Amino acid sequence: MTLRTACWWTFGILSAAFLVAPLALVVAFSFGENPHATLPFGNPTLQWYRELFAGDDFLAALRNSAIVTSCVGMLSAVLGTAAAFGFTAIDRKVSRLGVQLISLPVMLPPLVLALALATAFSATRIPLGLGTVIPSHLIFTQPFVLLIIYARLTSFDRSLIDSARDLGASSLQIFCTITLPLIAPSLIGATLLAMAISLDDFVITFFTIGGGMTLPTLIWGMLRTHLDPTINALGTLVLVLTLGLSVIAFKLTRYRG
Amino acid sequence: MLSASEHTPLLRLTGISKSFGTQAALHPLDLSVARGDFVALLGPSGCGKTTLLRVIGGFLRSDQGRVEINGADVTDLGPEQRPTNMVFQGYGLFPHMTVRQNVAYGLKIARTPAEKLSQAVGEILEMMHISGLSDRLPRALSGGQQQRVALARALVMKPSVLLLDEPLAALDLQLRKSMQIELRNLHREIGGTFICVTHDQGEAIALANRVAVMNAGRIVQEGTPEDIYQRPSNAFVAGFVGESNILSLTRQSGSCLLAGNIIPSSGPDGTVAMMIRPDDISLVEVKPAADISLYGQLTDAVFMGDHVKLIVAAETGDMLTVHRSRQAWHSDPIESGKRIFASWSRDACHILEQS
Amino acid sequence: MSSIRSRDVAAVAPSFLVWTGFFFAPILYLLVVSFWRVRQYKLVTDASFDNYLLAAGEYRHAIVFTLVLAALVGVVTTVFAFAMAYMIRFHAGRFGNVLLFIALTTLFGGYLVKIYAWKGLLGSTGIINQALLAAGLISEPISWFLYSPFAVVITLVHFLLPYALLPINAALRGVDDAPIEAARDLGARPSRILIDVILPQCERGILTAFALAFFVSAGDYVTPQLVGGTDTFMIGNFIQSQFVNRMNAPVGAALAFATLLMTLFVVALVSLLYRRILKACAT
Repeated sequence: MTLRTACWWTFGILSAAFLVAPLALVVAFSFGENPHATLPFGNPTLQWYRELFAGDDFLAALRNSAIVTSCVGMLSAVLGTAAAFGFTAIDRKVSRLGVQLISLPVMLPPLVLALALATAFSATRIPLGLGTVIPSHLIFTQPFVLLIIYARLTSFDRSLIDSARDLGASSLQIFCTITLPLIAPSLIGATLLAMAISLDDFVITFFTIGGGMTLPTLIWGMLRTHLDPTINALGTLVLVLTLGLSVIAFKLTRYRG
Repeated sequence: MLSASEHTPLLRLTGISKSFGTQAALHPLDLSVARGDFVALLGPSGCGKTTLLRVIGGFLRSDQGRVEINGADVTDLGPEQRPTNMVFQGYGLFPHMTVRQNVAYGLKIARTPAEKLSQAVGEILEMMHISGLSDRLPRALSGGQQQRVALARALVMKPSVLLLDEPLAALDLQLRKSMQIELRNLHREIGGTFICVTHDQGEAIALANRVAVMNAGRIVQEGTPEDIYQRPSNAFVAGFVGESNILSLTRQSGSCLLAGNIIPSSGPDGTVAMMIRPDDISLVEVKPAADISLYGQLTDAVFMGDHVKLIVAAETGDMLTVHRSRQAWHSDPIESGKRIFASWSRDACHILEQS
Repeated sequence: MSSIRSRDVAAVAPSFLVWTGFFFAPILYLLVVSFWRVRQYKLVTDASFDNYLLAAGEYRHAIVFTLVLAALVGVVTTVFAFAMAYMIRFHAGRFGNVLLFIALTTLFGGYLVKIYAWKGLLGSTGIINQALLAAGLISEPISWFLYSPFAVVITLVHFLLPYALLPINAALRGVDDAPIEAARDLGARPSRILIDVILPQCERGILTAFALAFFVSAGDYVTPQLVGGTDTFMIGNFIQSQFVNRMNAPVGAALAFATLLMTLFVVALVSLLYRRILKACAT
């Protein structure tokens, strides 16, 4: 029994290492003097971050990412929440189908979605830019908000709403004083998750942004052109932002796998 | 008993019916509740009692019929406009609000001036003995405390009718018993009108001064707890309220025959049921002359705590349940297997028309 | 509640409008385009099956190679994830929560970072070769670590493991203790319990995990482009290059839909096999 437990623990530690080590190394390299992705790391330094922040490309990409991420976050929160309320109110069978339809884009390989969007934008002569990136992101971020809020609302204790009605509250008062405060953690969590997904997206952005850059497309550019050691700093930054948003999101939604 | 001085009932339901799809939850029914009554809607799950309560509260619209409170037609009003308040099953306390905020919610919605509000809330918290908990969140309360908060939240609105949906179902037996007493006292103290839904016949009898027994969407009998227990109007009520022995008899020209006993009973010829409460039957060795008796064999004696439950297999093939107090059993026990007469007085026979 | 109110329709409408305008219509259009042709960099709208014949002919090897590689990634990821979920459910205690937390955290972030991290790890001067050299296990760097199907598989497994772990973990958590204990009480060994009690109850979670890993791998082009080298061209690379380099959207679209169809077929086949094999193994 102890041998078996030891085996399982070894396996667990190895799988944790497998998941974390590659990312941890990128972070470690970003703080080391060694410009190549080899050991030793070299003395600790912030040199790569200084160089990164000095670049115009980076600042433009950061700005674009900030715009896209915040717009996508807000819009998917509004759209997903509204849809979740609508779906909760209607017949179960219909709403389940509706939720599945809205979630369909998540199942498709991003490449297919990206090419469909790019082809459609070019056919309709819609100029590419942040204005095309944002709705394209919405397609695969709104399902997450919808799913989280829909699940929260279906488990919502009906008697709370009945209680509030019984005590004289109107629909709007119930929404503001009961429903919204109670779903707020889920709502904020879902929004942050949508932001993390949007911020991390490369494929859809690449095909719908035209000339501009976001943080992931900047990484892509660095990978394609030259071996730039600031890439580790940039990668670390993207990791911290996306993983940070995810952690807060999962804490808020109390999602535990 | 209804006092004659009240000419208009506080709550009057006329011809209320409700179906969900093709499933009829309530058949057209009438119910009147007088001011100050504590009415229990009693019945098995699925009998329509909660549906009826929700119709009274305005959470469901009946398909047909009228709901009147204080003489005013409230049929088309929602719960927010009715002078009723509800204590929900599971309480429905707002988890993000403290006890005080929960209790103050309805008054806040009604824009009660701050001073009046805090006074009313303070009084009701005091009355329910939960003043010390006013800043706690519901999840930090025990079941009994949550129950008190739910009661306080509804009562602070001074409802014409307080509705209680299985109010004690979530509590353990010990607490349930003491809350029953407290609920009775509360009702007496504030002199309000309460309507309570329950599936527990003991609870209905302990709480209410009027009981409406429901089955399959109908009110099958309404009366005082004593009426219901002593004079059940049919086999369902007899079986549902308290323990009972039900014997099937044939009635012919005004009397029923049971193993040599003749029991007078008026009504059409045919099969009828006779109900005898287990505590009305005594076991004797000599056949008594005046009483009705069946000869049989004691097959089992089960110790139930405060009484002993005896099973007698009668010669007629019927199985009779007989209750004896613990003391009586100890002073005069009977051996299992012993042949014996089970006898009861003519007053203890209740002929039930088949429903 | 069965009648649909206008308020609810209005609530769902914006979401559906975005879905229709930026998902359904473009995909439908892409499907139509897949039957068209390109002449002198312009779309010509005469419909034919030529593009699909091309997919079934010239690109057959690429599609089959992609499906095989994706299936390999799918199986490895699913088995790995199942082992992790099994450990979390039955052997890990608190450590299980740590593992789950790691998986959840790394789920939605760092797609590109993960890929290039492996590029750095697997290269001939990368850390793994460095470590093996230092340990004296090899005398010169192993070159097939990077720019090979191996690199593509390990990178994709790393990226997809958290995705596969979640549905399997949810499924395993849904398996009650009582039937497992009953089986043990009746004398079943852990392997027997796994086959007879656990796996049949986890069918949905396991198949979802496999389908997810398989779909994503079959449609990915970034991973093979960055770590696959010249001999690991997957269909995604061909599709991408039809669009970007050759400006031939119809052929690219036809390749995409042909592959999509094949992946659906494979997933259906795997679901069928899963049930068959379990049935055959059952006592």
